[in-house]
Amino acid sequence: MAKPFYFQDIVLELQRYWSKQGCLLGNPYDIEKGAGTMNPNTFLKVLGSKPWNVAFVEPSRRPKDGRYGDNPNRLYQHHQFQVIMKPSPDNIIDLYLNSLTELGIELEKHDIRFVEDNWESPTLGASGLGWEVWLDGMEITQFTYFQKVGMFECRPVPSEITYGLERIAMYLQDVDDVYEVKWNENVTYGEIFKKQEFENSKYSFETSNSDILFELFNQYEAEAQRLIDEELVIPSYDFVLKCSHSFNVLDAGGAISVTERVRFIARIRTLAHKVAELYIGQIGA
Amino acid sequence: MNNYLLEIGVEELPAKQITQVVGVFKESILQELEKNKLPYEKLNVWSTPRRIVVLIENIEDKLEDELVDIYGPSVAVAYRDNEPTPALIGFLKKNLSDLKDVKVENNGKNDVVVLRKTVEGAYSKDILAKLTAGWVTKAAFDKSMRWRDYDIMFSRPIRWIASVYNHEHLPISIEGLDSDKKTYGHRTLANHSFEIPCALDYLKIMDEAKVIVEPEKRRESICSQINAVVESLNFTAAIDAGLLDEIINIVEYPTVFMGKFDDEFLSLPVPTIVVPMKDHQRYFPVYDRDGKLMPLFLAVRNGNDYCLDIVAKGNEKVLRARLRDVQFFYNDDRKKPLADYVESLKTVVYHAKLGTIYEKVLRIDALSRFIAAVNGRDEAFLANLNKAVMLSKADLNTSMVNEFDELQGTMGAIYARLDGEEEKICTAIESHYLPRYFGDSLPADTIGRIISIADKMDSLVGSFGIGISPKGGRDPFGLRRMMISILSILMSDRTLNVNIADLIAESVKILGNVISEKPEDIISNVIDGFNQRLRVIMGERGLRHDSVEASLPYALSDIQGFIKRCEVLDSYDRVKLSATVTNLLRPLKLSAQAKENTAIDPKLFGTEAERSFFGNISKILPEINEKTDNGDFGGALDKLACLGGYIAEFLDQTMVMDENLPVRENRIQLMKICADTIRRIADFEKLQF
Repeated sequence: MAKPFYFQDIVLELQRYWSKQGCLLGNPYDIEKGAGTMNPNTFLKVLGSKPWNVAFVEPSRRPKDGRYGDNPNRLYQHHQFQVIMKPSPDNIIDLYLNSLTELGIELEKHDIRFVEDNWESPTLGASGLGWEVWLDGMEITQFTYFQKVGMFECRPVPSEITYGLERIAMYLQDVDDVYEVKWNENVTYGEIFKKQEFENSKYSFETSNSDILFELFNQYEAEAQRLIDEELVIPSYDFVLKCSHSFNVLDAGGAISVTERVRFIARIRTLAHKVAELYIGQIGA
Repeated sequence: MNNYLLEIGVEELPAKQITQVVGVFKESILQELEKNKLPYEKLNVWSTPRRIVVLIENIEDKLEDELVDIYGPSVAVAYRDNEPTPALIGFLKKNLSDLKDVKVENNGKNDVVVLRKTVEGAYSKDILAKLTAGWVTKAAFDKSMRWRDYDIMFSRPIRWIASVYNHEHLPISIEGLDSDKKTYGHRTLANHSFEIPCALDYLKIMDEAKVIVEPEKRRESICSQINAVVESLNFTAAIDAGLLDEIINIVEYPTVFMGKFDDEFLSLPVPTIVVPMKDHQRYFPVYDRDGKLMPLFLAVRNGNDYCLDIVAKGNEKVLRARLRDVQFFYNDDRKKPLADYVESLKTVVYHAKLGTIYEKVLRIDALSRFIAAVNGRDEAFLANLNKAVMLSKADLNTSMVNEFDELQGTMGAIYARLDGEEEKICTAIESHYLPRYFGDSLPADTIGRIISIADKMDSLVGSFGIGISPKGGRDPFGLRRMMISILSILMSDRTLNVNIADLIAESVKILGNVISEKPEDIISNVIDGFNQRLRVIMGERGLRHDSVEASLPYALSDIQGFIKRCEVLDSYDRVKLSATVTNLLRPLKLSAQAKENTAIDPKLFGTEAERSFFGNISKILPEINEKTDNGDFGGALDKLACLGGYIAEFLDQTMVMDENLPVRENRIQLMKICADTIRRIADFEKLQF
């Protein structure tokens, strides 16, 4: 079989491979977020004792990393391919390495390293131990054994594999500029995303209205809290995600000082913790 | 002879910690083996990213037999009417012995029954079987984790255990995992299992498994491969020891390769190329014979030389992207002079309670002036000092330092130089973070040293001032290290006469209402902290504990005098010193009863002894003080011996606690003026003989 080359084929191949390993194929969640970890298929489903295996693409927005479409590597929005397996199988690293082989990366021709990196998301009250996986000196994947999510200990322990799809595509297609990546035979990454990258960068850095965003943040926070009181897990979590994204835009616009930053993160974490608590209570784990 | 192999197979361990952690692990195994008296010749402990290995060579079958005395009941209890009682019979039964084995011994109080038995030495294999399960999770890394639904914790998941005694499997079980006689090969070169038929075959099998188990062999291999490459080009490589140590713990089978980067990047400042190369990509930079950076790098692949060109090309691409970023940051930063960044420090928070970096810079400025004033520096010096202080933190808001925080100071100096600042100022900006630990190099010149002291003192006093202080093993802000840094500057630089206690007080004053704790508490806690560091530093120099204690009260006002005092007390003839000090103790005690500001009245002298004592000390005390003031503590001690003689003679003939109160007070005053002089030299009551 021909090895995948186009961006969309890489996604298809990863979906095919992880589906074969017993993963449910999920979809991106329809609210802005900074990482696949925030998808409820990860954040909520890793809690509790029930086994859970899922794989999905997640467009991830990082307003601070926006570069107006000028930088060959940094993006306002990149694409993560996320695999969650709970409990993590004993051969999870081999499973991961085989997925690279399936992508046409012949391991014996390359240098694969597992470089210690203990991932942490202070907004989600989540942390774990793991690695950055390096392919010939380039980070292509974040691999984490979750230890805590929503400030709750994960038992059993899930593994989270997060592929950086742009990095892998650039590597397979041997291009230096992400905008030159071919999405399929006819369309480049730049054709799809360059305008979006420019406009979202311009919005985040220059045009966003901090008064409105602060106000929205407060309202989202209040609404999340009200819905937690109403014991509605998913709607309240949606508002936590909205808080997180408005915070990220404010942060990129320079509207938040270092000290305030810590306080905002703590406010979001408190909500995330309450949602996790509510969810755990409901599933009886 | 027997051999035992334990291999703990794990997922990739944190490379930066392995060497240290495995060192401690080996030490604790050595102790366990000693405690259990295992008779063996050699213990090897090795590690790779994926395994911790224990190989014990030439183990005797068993421990030697031992003769053991087992004490039983007293004779009075053991026999009645010469017949063994049930107590004795029970004792014999328990120890599987007969009546004929019984001896009687006196244990100092009573005659008791004793069995002398030969206890067979334990089998080495049995000893190991008991110990080894405990070794599996013994290596203590900073952080540990859980996996699956197990309770067991380790740095990374444990995936296999090989436990082999000679040819035999010596079973070990941990939660969710049983040992075997199998190992696993290199992840890409031999990713499958290998049988270990015999413990001693281990290294040979690992050869086949494409794993170089011994870290030292990996180190040698990397070094010799690097040297071969650079020597063939007549270049040199900077092999940073810390980086090399990390790399040997990332690879199981190292192959060195060389990559290139475009010449255009060579126009960037050297540190901005080297830092991303070393700290981020783990490459070794290459220089020509004149020390000029070459557009090359050396890196180590975890594997063999198959398709090495692909690996090199991939790495070159990553470095190119990084250097592009560096270029972008550099051009961005140079849009304005360094001085223009100072204002922006008002937006950078140093600590929520301690204000912005800008406010900190102003405090460093005030404290530096204080230090310079004590040292009588002139206007020109003060102007340079002020300029260097104001620029010292300016680079914290540059793009380059935001991206590579290890370049703080370095970038400031580079940008200041480009702005045409005086070299003295640039050096001070670069080096004011030094020394980072005891024995590290000091800032190159006086300006840098003064800023370094002021910066660290402000951080220290500020932290103590808002209730953050080191507690036990926890010192998250590195406050102890800051104390050590300040001390190491002041101990080595004799030209800086700084009274640390005054400096602490001044820093408290400058911080003003920024701090919330009580000033007197802060001062005494920081002083305690410094004294504690001095105890450790002098102890490590091998000085007597009591010499240090006796000198410590003078340390913070006169650090050079403190060092001299310690050294003199330490090397002074112990017998002579002991004799002198014995004579000094009474005046030190009696002087405590002296009233303040009372002059000695010679008219009250009742005896010849008193008069001649006063004559003698009136002459010798100023002589001793003069020596003390000149830092000649050895000379002062010699004279103290003489003073001690006068005191002994005087006290022999005179009763200080006379019934006549004015006479008594006069005599106490005589003791006090002696004590005042003695106390300027050392706290002699702390000496132990």
